[in-house]
Amino acid sequence: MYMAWISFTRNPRSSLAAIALVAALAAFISIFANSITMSEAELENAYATIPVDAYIMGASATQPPRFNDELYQQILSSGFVAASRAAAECQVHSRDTLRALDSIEMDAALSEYAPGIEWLEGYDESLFAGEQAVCIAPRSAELALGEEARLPMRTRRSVVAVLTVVGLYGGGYDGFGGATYYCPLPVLRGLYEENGMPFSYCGLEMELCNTRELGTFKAQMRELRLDGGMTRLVVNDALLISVTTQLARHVRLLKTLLPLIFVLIAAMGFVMSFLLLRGRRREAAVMRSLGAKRRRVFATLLLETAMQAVTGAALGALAAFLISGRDALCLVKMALVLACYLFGGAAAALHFARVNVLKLMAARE
Amino acid sequence: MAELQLQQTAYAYCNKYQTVQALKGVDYQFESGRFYALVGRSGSGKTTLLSLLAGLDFPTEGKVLFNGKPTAELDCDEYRRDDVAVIYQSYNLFPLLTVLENVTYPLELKKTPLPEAKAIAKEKLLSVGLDEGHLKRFPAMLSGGEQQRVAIARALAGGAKIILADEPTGNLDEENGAVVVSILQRLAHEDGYCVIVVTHDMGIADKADEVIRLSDGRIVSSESAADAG
Ligand SMILES: Nc1ncnc2c1ncn2[C@@H]1O[C@H](COP(=O)(O)OP(=O)(O)OP(=O)(O)O)[C@@H](O)[C@H]1O
Ligand SMILES: [Mg+2]
Repeated sequence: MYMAWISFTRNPRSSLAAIALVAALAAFISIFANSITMSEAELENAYATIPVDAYIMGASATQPPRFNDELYQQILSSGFVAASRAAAECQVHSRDTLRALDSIEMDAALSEYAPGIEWLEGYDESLFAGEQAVCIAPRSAELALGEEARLPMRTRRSVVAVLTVVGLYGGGYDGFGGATYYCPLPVLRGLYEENGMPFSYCGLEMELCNTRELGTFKAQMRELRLDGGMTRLVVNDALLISVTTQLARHVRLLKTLLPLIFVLIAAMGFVMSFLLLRGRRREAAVMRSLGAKRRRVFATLLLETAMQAVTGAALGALAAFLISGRDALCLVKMALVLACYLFGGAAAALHFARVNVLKLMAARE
Repeated sequence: MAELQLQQTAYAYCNKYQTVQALKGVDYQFESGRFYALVGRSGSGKTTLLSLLAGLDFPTEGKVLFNGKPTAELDCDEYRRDDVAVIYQSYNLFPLLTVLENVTYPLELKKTPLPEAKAIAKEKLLSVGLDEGHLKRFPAMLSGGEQQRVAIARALAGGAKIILADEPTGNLDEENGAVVVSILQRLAHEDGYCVIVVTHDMGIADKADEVIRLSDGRIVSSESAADAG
């Protein structure tokens, strides 16, 4: 349509106004959409990198929790546990303790002593990952490396843990709390099972994964009744929450704004085209009086608007590219901007294609 | 058969609040090859009558017949494109198109091939007394008289045999007005057009074959040059 092309090229002032508007809108949308993508990536990154750990706590800080193997298995199979370590203990002799760990880090005191531990040849702290009937004994127990420690349970004297001493720690006396022996967790559990005694854990620490759905994890744990009482689950997600809620709110806000902006673009398309075509009402009427069909007048006006919009969108895309790089370019977004703007423009064009030709006669310059 | 015929033609401007009866039952016949002048006081309904003849709207009562067919039954876009042409007091040229492009436009609507359309347009422009130098100019670079002649050329280009003009000399000085009138007169008498001109200027009315006087939406008198002398 020659007429539209001519109006587009020979009316630079109005064309430039429309082009500038569309370019600004297109650049804005590109940058806006890009910032949504970036915020989403940041959010994803926060979930992936911020560690969340959890542990089981007793009724109070001084009273360790007690929970059975069934609960332990349920927690571990929740799908949220990336790594875990557990501890159990029982009273032996008259006032000594046997602690069973699956990692030396489960016991703060032993970890502290660790550099001073005297090992039997071939042993080190990795013994806790295994299932050998061995133990680390306090020096105060006056046992030698390689010797067997016989530790009868206080609740059932007939059950005796027989463990080879492979490490010695601590000073020469045991203080008032009695001596503490350390052995791998499966060893103690096995002893309980052999003797038909109910085994219970007294500590569990976990590193969580899948932290995006922590809510589900917490709900599952609530169902296991770990939300209070004698055994409570504590999830250290304060940092994750403080970071992600902000980011998530930001992303949500941007995402709700996006469709609104497209509506605004349509409105601007209408207003801009209306203002630009308003001065051309007379031309539209003349076309109609010369016998152009309404459809044709509409097409002419819309095509002119489309030429402005396409040029504007191209410039806008270029601007977005220069400002925020290649990632900001999105063909779909550009097409949407164009479509919305032209939707508004079409409404304006339709309005002027329906011009009252009769009034043209009466119009004087 | 009369080219254009008014049969009890009435027209009322309506909006939500008011109705203005601009024409109140008009009968008349317009023949080809004749030059008509439509005169009357301001507000008497001249422009309204011309608009109905031009097919810009249809009578609210009665009929306007073109070759015996009511305009209301015609495709009014085609009627305007092929059968009537209107010339306005304010020229109404497309400001962004050159003189030649303005005159080519009606031919474009008829899907005439461009080279042929340009040739016709050029011929029409030369026939109203414009020269080659004007063709590439924009309307704003022409005098009023030249613009009105471009408008006449545009009216002729579409091939319509009925030319309706609403005060075509209203914005022109006497000399240019006279040129325009003589062109219109020539079209009627030499080329067989039916030319109907609304005018306030009794000098123009004197040159018409028939003068139709409107008053308050009715024809109060019509006299033909032959009657007068
Ligand atoms: N668009 C309109 N809406 C309502 N009434 C109108 C409209 N146009 C004209 N009229 C009325 O119709 C009547 C006839 O108007 P018309 O324009 O035909 O007069 P005219 O003879 O051409 O006058 P003029 O010599 O001033 O051009 C007038 O009373 C006018 O007020
Ligand atoms: Mg008038």
